Amino acid sequence: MVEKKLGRLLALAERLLGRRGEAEEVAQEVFVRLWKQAPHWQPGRARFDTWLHRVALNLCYDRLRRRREETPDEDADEAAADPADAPDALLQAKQRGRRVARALAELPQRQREALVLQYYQELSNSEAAELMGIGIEALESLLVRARRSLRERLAAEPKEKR
Amino acid sequence: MTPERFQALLDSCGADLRRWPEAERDAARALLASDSAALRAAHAEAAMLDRDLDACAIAPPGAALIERIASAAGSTGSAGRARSWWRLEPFWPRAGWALTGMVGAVAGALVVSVALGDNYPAAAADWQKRATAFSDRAADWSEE
Repeated sequence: MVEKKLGRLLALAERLLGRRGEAEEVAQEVFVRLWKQAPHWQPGRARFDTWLHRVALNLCYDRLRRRREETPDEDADEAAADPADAPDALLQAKQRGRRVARALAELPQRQREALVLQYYQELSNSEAAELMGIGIEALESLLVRARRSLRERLAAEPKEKR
Repeated sequence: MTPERFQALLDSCGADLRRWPEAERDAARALLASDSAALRAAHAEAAMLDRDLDACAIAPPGAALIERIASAAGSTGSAGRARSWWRLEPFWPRAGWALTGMVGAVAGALVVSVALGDNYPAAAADWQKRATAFSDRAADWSEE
């Protein structure tokens, strides 16, 4: 169970929070809550995944809310440590990934959530909309703005970095 | 599907039709296969952004995190039970092999007892007759 679900939950939290350490704490907390709820659980795989996503999302919301009240981000780019001896292709792929992660982190929160749920977590539009508490049209609108904004941000980067 | 709807879904869901609403995929596929150069160009542009998005990979969870989660589970009430179950998971395949071995040993003993049945002394033959009910059960198992 842990190995099956952990990677997906960790990816969700890290893309929303932009910090590996916090993402790991969120993933851990999701499992603690899962085990506390386990005796009351009703079977149903789709609902189970939705429940996991909802718990993870709420924990991310809490942290993002607290973060806004505290000092600006200091270690969002903590994963940017550079392997000096990495081959060129690997280094370029890492740089490209970091550039996208940075652009993703700069998106307005709701746009980022929509994109992470629909694209990276591969939820259907209706599942993502339900998790976010909005209609499908509103979700599609957020997705359009998110993708347009990302395209513009990435295009604005210097050519040699792409 | 109209070209406008196709463009709208392209702008929101990206180029991979598997991420599109299921009910609209076939129509989208048919439209994409048509000769519209404008739609194909728009599709290629969306695919480029998808490739950028895919470049943002997340490192898989490390063993230390998995261990921390197991430890955290042990510190809560029902979570402890869940943890015990999780810990025991690797045991079940081994238990399955052990059970298979036991069943094999019992089946082997039955085959030997049937094969030697006529050469046994009377007392032993009586004992074997009493055991035939068990042998019949073995035959039933083989039909399952």
